[in-house]
Amino acid sequence: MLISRRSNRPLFSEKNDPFAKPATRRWPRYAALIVVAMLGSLLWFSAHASVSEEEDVSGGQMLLKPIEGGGLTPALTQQSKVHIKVSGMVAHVSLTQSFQNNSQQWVEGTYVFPLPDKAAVNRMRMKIGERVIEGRIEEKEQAKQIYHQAKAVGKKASLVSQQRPNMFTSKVANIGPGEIITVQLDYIETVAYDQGQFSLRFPMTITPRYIPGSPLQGSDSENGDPLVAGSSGWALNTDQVPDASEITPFINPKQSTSQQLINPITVTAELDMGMPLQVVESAYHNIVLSRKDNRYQLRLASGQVSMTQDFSLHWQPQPGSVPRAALFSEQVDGENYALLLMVPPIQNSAAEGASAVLAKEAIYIIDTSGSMDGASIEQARQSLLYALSQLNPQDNFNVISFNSTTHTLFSSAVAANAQNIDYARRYVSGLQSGGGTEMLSAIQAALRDEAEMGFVRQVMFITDGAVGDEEALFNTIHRQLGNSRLFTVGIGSAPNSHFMRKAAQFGRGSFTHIGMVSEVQEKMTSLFSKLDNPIVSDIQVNWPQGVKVESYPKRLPDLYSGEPLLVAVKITDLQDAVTVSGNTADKAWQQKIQLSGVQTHTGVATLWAREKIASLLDEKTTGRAEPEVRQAVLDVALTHQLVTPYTSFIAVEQVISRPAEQGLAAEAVSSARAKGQAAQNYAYPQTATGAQLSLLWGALLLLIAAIAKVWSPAAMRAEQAAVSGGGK
Amino acid sequence: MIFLTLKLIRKTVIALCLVAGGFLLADSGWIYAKAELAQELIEDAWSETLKTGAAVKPWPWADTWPVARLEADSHDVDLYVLQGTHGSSLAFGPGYLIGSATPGDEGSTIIAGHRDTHFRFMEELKQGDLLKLTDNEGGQHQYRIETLAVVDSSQQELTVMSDEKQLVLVTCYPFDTITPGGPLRYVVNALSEDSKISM
Repeated sequence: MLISRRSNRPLFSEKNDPFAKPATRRWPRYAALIVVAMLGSLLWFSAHASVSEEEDVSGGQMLLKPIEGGGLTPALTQQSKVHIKVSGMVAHVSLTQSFQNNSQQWVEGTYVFPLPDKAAVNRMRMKIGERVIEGRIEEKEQAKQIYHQAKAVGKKASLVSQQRPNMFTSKVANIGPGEIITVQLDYIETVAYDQGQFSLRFPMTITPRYIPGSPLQGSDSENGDPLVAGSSGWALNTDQVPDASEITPFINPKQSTSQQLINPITVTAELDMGMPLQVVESAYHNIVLSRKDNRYQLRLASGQVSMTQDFSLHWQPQPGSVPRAALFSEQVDGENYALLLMVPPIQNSAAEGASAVLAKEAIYIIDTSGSMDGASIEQARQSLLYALSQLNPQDNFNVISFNSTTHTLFSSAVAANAQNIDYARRYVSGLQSGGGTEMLSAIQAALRDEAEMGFVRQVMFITDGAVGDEEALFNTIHRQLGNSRLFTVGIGSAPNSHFMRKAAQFGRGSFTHIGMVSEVQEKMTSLFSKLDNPIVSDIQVNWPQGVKVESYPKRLPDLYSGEPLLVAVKITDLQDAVTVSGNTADKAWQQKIQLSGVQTHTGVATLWAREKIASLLDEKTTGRAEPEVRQAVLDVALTHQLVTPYTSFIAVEQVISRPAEQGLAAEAVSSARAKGQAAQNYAYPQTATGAQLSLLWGALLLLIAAIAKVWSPAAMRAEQAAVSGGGK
Repeated sequence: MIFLTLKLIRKTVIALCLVAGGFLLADSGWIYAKAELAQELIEDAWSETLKTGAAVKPWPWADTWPVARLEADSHDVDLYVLQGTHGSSLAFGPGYLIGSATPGDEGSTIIAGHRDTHFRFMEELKQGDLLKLTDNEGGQHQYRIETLAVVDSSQQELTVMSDEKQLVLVTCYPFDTITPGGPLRYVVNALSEDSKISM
């Protein structure tokens, strides 16, 4: 007993510890030892845990494999190839997506990708090595069922469906280990033509989405910023903005830093306008151009690029050969289809331009609801002040502000003289945000009046669109628009863009998005250059007597300077001439275009069908029952083999390739960078707490404390030994 | 003198380590405790919601409320799902990703949870497991797990399909790593049983 005590003495010296309390001082050391043991095992466990990182997922599929450089790459990669062939006003585009399975398992791939929002997708093929399986259009649900069945029994299948007008999904089932399956999509679209310049845009990626619900950006989170990096951008929207990429061209900073190309694509194009071109330019990519007669061929200078930025191409005929009117036709199944392009006569000179501007009655609606608080109301005020500064003396104007109630500055529109504008400026500068968003009464107030003769009535709606009753609002706009036009100015970093776009469409106007105060000037300037030159109005197209026609768009838009009129028509007989008429500032004009002997052109029928479908889908908003619209869309889509919200392309190989006993892993192909266009993509939330880390650190510190308690430095021990030796 | 100084340093180190270590342990304990206890408190709010159909905050200063109940009988899991996937709701329960399909509706309903608290059980999920979701009107929805996958959240976003009724559970991956904030996520897709296509 005594001996054993003595042998312990250097460690458990009692007398010489000045801090020790004689009666109780032994147990802390035992306790410390126990703590050391416990914490040691905890640390060991933790260390072990961190090593297990690379282990397989139990019951699941490890779909990532390490690559050189330490990063992880998805088991499924995707490569695209696009070939654009333009002849006249029509572009035939062929897009091939190759899905390569880099893993050892059978994989189902899903890829969400953008297409131009007016693309008419009319052919799909699935290629497995040398085998080609032609896809067919089926009703969406049915296509999905066929796909699921094929997938379940192990057949290769692919399904292309539309999520949004400009957003599609490719699914490919049963890609074997190491295998490549290619999906080829063909689509047709009309080339854009504005100010004498043709352009075409191939979207490469999907713009970042707004993550709904403000809490995600809140500072009250447990772990700091809960958003995963890589999902930033001012155009983060709550919902569908089919042309957001056109409005906010997106430049991906990752493009230059990435060593390896994410979603690589090759782009080739062929332009055949039947005339010599003056300019062929790509806005964002370097191209190599070659010419043979009037045919221009181009490809990317670097061969392949990552799909991080839209491919934007524009070209211009040589002066003198700029088209003023064109007509293309196609006969399919005994039906005649035609596409009419016409550029209304415009006064191009600047001097004349000023006088040609129609006097306008401008009604400005400004949203001062609570959701506009902060930076938004400032952007709104600045936008409105800018608008006021752009008024001409001959214009009339009024200002309507609303939150829970609507306030109209003048009882009716007043002349834009210095005094009235000054009054309005002071009123606008004093506007504060707060209250609800009773938008309906404000829209009604704005659309209640008719403009005086000779005035163009423009309603500019400055709002973040934070409303839930969009459908009711669209209806009101549609019913009460009269001769007004509604332009929406979306304010703030998270406006309801779906509302902005659709409201502008039903309001026959356009939509601008302002995300920062610094953008106000630039965005408003470009909006006003459109607004101030409403060159052609009241456009009418008169087809020859006695022929039956079905033409789209049903309601012809006003044309701003340089914009062409584009009409797709199904017509019983192509003869005689069509007359187009309209009003320009002070005079009416009309123009005749011969219908007979026009050049035929493949794709015209498809484009007509696409226009008809777009028109039918809009009818849903203007009050037609959905089942009716659906049936009508189905009829067109099945006849013309088009992908729509109600129809999808499906291709199934009849051979069963995946053995029943092997499972199928799902793999989504990522966009080149975290982007998505149809409000359908979200950043992953942060899903781990710091608890384990705290636990580990806490344990480590306690362990250090415990070790410090039981372990004495040699010097101390020597001194202790000396003291206890003396005591003997 | 040296001896005394050393002693003093030692005592100080011990004291500091004890305090800091104690604090960190308490912090981690607090996170776990919150995760556990809050679910109890939420239960009352949930039964109130089922009765009235209204959103009920489990405690007055809460910035979230229960929107669904998630059960996985085979794994002894019964959780109240809270509105939002921000940190202050995930601390108390799995969170419903605002913007994804409303629990029980057509489309993808996405629920995220902390891998080290509520969604620890995701580690054990396997293909074919049944998940049960109760919506805020008391409606019950069954989902069967179809796929389990690891994704790199820095490479891709959560894609929400609007045309298929499914339940997507998301948590961090790997389950046992110590530091939070990694890019990997574990994603479990479960297809609705009532929309399942007979083979």
